[in-house]
Order: sequence, then structure tokens, then C-alpha cells
Amino acid sequence: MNNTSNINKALFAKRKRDNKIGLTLSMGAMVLGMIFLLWILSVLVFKGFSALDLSLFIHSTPAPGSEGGGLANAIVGSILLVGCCTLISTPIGVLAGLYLSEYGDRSRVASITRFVTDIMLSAPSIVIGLFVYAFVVAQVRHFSGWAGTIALALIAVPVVVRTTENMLRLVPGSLREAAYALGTPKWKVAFKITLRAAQSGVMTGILLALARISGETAPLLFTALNNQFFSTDMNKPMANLPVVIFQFAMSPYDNWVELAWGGALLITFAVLALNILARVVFREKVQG
Amino acid sequence: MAVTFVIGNAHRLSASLFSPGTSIASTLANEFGEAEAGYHLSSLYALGLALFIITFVVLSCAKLMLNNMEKKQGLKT
Repeated sequence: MNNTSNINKALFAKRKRDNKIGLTLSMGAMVLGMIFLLWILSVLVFKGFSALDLSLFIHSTPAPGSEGGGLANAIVGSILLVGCCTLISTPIGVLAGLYLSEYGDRSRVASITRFVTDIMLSAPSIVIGLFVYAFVVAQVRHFSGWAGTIALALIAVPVVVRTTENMLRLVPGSLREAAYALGTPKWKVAFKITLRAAQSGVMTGILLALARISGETAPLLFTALNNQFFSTDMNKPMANLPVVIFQFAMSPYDNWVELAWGGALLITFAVLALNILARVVFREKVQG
Repeated sequence: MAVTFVIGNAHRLSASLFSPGTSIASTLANEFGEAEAGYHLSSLYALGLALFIITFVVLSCAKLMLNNMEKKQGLKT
């Protein structure tokens, strides 16, 4: 008796058909996503490329009605804000993630922390802007770069905490046990063994958090505000790319609108580069 | 927030999805910076609270669902 006669032909055909339908639908979803991504990128390049020249990087944002100008103050402001935010959120986020995975584990404190980070992770960014406005800007009575940095850090910390925790959980338990067997104290295991082993995963998390915050407009609107002039003083209102894009794109001046497209192109490709970098960092770890 | 560019920012309720309207985030983005102290400012804060409560409730429901699914894992229903 040969095997094929045992197979229920109708059932087999149905499963094959179902498989085909499922595959087609998921391929369709992928193609749809790609189409929109490429569409957005091509519109950005098409509209923003003409604004990309040297003066974009050396001149500050122009006054209403004046010709030319660039985005130098906004670019420097964005780099300062995002840089300070990374310096603040990385230690807090990594340490909290370390606690969650190595010390807290299934304790009550840890599960509450996890719940709160999850809420913060998807809290509307504009609400975080409101919060920082009420507790920093309204108290010191002026907008400042620091207020913007705090708002961005509040968004970045949960991202870093969650990715750090997930990456540390991937480290095999036998590695920790080997360290314990040699008489290593717990803190040393956590810092020198687990964190070391998950290094590139943690880096990926930090880079992804960076990519997330560098495009955020809402929390900066009422905190860092904007500044028409070049300034590196974090105690003063600070120009930054997202808010400049937001204001210039809706303005009636042609050169402002063009600058907004240029800025959008810059920031998109910066974020794209960060995402690609994060993937490369992570892949090296997986292979090596 | 990104919606601010395209939603029209009209302060009225309209039955049609094709006419201008407004969203909580876009109202906040447009008005908070230049709100007057008093009713205007506090009603904008109230909008922020409403938005936060909405996300909080939705997320809590999602978390509850996930927890329940985790508990049922491995059991045949």
C-alpha cells in the first residue's frame, strides 16, 4: 500500500490553499508598508534636496521676510538636546533594567516598575511636555534647553529600561552560575558578567531610544520652545529641528517652507542611519 | 501630534470625518504655548489628563488580557 493514498486529498488541498492565502496577505501587507516608506522618502528627497547646501549648515534660521538662511542653530540645538538627554537617560535606564532582570525579577516592586515603564513607554509625548511645563518651566518662569532635555529623557528612559531588561534576560543562566561558582559577589556578576555579555544588545536599545527622541516635536514645544538665534546656553530657550520644522512648514514664507523640507530630510536620514547602525551593532553580536 | 498639520484644527463637532476637526494632541500643540492663565490653561491641562487617562485605560486592558493569556497557556479550553 503506498503512502499517498493515506493522505486525505481534500484536506491537503484546503491546507495548501489556506497557506497560499495567508502568504499572499502578509506579502501584501509588507509591500504596502514598503510602498508608503519609499513614497515618503522620495517626496522628502524630492522636496528637501534643493534646500540642502552649505548655507543650511552655517546660517541660522532667517527672520520673517528675509532671504536665505539655514538651520545651523536648530541642528546644533538638536544635537545638544539629544546628547544631554542620552547622557541622563542611559545610566538611569541601564541601571533600572539591570535591577529588573538581575535583582527584582518577579518581586512586587519589579512588576510595578515594569507596569509603570510600559505606561510611560506609550504615554502621549505631548502629555509629557505638559508635565515638564508645569513642573519645570512654570516654576523657573522661562523656557530652557534643560526643560527640553528632561522631557526627552522622560521618553527615552522607559525605552532603554525595557530593551536593557530584555537583552539581559537573553544571557544564559549558566554564565551567571559559572561566575557564582567562582565566588563572585552578585553585584560583580551583574555588572561584569551579565551586562558585559549583553553589551551590544544594550547599545542597540540606547541607539533606538536616541532615534525615537530625535524626532519628537510635542515634548519640545512647551519646554525648549525655539530660538531664532544661535545659542548653546542650555538655560535659554533652544532652537531644535523638530520645532523649527513644525513652525516653518506651516509658515507663509517660501524659503521657510523650503528650509522645513530640508530639515525634515536631514532628521529623517539621521534617524534612518541610527536605526541601521543599531541593527549592525546587534547583528555583529549575534554572529560573533 | 503629526495630525496637527492636516486635521484643520476646527473647534466644532462634525458628523463627517471629511470635514475639519481637531484632536486632543493637536489642540494642545496649537494653543498651550499661548494660553491665558485661568480657564483656558486649566482646560488644556484637563485635556491632557483626559488623553492620559484614555491611554492608561487602554494599556491596562491590554496588560490584563496578556496576563490572562499567560495564565491560560498550556491549558486546553
